Amino acid sequence: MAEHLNTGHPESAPPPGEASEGTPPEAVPTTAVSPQTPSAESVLPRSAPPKGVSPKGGRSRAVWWGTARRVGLRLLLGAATIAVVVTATFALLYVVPGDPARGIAGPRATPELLERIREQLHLTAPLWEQYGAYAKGVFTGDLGDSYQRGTPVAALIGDRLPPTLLLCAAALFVEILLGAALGTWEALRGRRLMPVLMTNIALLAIPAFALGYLFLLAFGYGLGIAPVSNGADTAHMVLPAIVLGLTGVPYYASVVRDGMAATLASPHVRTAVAKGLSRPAVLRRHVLRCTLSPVLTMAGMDVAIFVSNVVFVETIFGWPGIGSLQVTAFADQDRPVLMGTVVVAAVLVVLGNLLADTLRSVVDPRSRQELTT
Amino acid sequence: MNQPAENGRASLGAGEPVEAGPARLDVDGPAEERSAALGVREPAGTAPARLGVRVRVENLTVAYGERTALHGVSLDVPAGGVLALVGESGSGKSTLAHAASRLLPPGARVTGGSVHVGDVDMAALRGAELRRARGSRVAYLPQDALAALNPVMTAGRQIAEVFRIAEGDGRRAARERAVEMLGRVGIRDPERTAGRYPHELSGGMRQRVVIAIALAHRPQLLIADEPTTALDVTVQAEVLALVAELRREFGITVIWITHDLSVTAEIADTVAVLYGGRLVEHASAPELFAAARHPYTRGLVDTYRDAYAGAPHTRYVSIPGARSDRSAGPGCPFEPRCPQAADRCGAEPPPVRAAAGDQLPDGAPPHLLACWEAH
Repeated sequence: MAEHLNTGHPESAPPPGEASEGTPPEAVPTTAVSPQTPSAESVLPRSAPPKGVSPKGGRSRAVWWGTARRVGLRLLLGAATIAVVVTATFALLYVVPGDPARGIAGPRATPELLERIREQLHLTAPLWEQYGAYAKGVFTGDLGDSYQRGTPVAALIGDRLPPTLLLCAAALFVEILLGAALGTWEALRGRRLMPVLMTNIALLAIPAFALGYLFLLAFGYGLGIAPVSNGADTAHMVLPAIVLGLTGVPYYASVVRDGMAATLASPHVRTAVAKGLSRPAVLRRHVLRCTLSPVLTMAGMDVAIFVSNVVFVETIFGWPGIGSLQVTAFADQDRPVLMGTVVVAAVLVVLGNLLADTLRSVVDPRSRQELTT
Repeated sequence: MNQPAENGRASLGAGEPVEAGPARLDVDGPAEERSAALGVREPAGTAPARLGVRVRVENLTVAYGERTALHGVSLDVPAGGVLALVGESGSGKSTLAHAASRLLPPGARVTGGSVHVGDVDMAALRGAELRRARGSRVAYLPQDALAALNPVMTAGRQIAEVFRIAEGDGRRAARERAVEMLGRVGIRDPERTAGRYPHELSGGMRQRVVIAIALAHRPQLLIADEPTTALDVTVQAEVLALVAELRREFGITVIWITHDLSVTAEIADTVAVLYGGRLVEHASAPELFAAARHPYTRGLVDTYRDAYAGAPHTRYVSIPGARSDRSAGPGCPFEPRCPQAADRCGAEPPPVRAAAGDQLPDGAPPHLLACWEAH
């Protein structure tokens, strides 16, 4: 408070020695203002919630309102995340050495030509102006044109997005299926098995690119089962999907195992058993849904892991997705494409988390109350 | 409760409602009947169903791995009677409850004895027979109602599930009966409550939902595992009154597990006291409060009496010594804390025998005692 007063009124700032005497007259106007602002702030949120949770409005409407507000809040947070990502990528790309003009024109270009290209690409404008133009473009869906191909980045990404989504969906399927099966088996068994534990640790330790080359070597070149050439059909998808999925299996296995073991030991499962339900019925009706919630949370976070792993996997297997596009763009110093892919990846992560969160609130009624305040 | 339990269900629900306040209990006087103030009323003229059967626990021994948690405990509850099973943590009372309702956790098993509910030995049942017996013969009323309810399922569906399994009702019929059941356990707005999730209900309401689940089976024996411990006193009194009311309505046999003697005084016909996994004393409630013999029970009753009779500044008397040691020696489990312990007590566990004393009124359960020194 005193600091604020000092900066606001440099002339009337009391000398250090008279601080105790000087502040009261200065404090008068501020105390006259400050009680109003906090009270206005504190009244508003208090009067707002009853609107949503009003018992008269009906329970379903209150729930609806709560869901809408939560989703809105998440979207807002997501937009903030994307803004930060855009800023960070922009800043990062300008730190990276290299001249895009030379990349376009080639090593033999004259300085005049380079200058002209820079002019065309607006690279001579002040940095903040470039940033402003780019941010505006991102908001309107215009990600600029590729330096190398001259086509709009949005169109390029639009072409590459479906294969990536398909690959990720297949990998998620592999991951959840194997992870859930393994976790369920371990939970029902009650005791951990050494070979399973070792496999889990091995999978956790091996990065996706190493596993990818290993699989390509073993199944593509060694056994000759899987295609080695580039392609976008189902046969070409099998190996990358398995590699991408396998790296996530230990996580799902442990989430499912722990969740299921905790649920199996919980008193409400005892209640279910006491009702006279058979074991399969207990598992199906009472255990499964309680285990689902952490799995969904995991899947939401998984989108981020996928987005980074997909770069390696797509490059290794020649899958024509966003990941391989990103790698090419990086090699070519194609800034707009590189930034476009990063922004799209950020959007995917935000949307994936939102989806997982929404699904979780459907599955677990307790999570509906978490983010309201 | 001064008069003998003539038909085995004297203290609960049979008398006229006297007061509905929180538990105000007198050790020597009768426990007040407090069944009023609840929405559950038996229509006049209809003969109440009599579901209860005689329950005999014989020599029940339960072990967790190598450790024996329950050493050959025998109990006998007449049809429609209420037995209070009293003991501190680790005394084996919950183990007995789980064993009798066949809900022992993995790793624990019944190593000997039987639990006859009517003419069926619960301890010997397997497979589909066991599943049918769970719930319909023995219903288990758990301690923590919030934990005992499925968090992702509405209260109504959890009750309806019982009707669907046990009686094969359709979805809609089961739901209607669940709502009806909620009304019966004294929930004011059953339709609305049926659509709620456990975390949206108050502690008392959750406990009522759990009671509704337990009673939906129309069981012959209800085993209540300290169901009122987590509730505050007024809600506790309401739940006790509700169970009393429902007991009168259904006439079921009840084994009520508690460490609270005030609850015992209020609801029980007979009291069995466990210590260190052994039965130490067994008598009718008035007899036990008036003439406890075992040093442990005497300490318990004295503590309880002090707590109720004591002036604000009276120091409560507690039983000296650490709580029952699970890995006790070969003798009486209470021996390390016992003021009367003799040489023999540490060497050999005392057998359960009839206590010496005045002639008990006809029909009253025998006063049993397991102590070398007390008579």
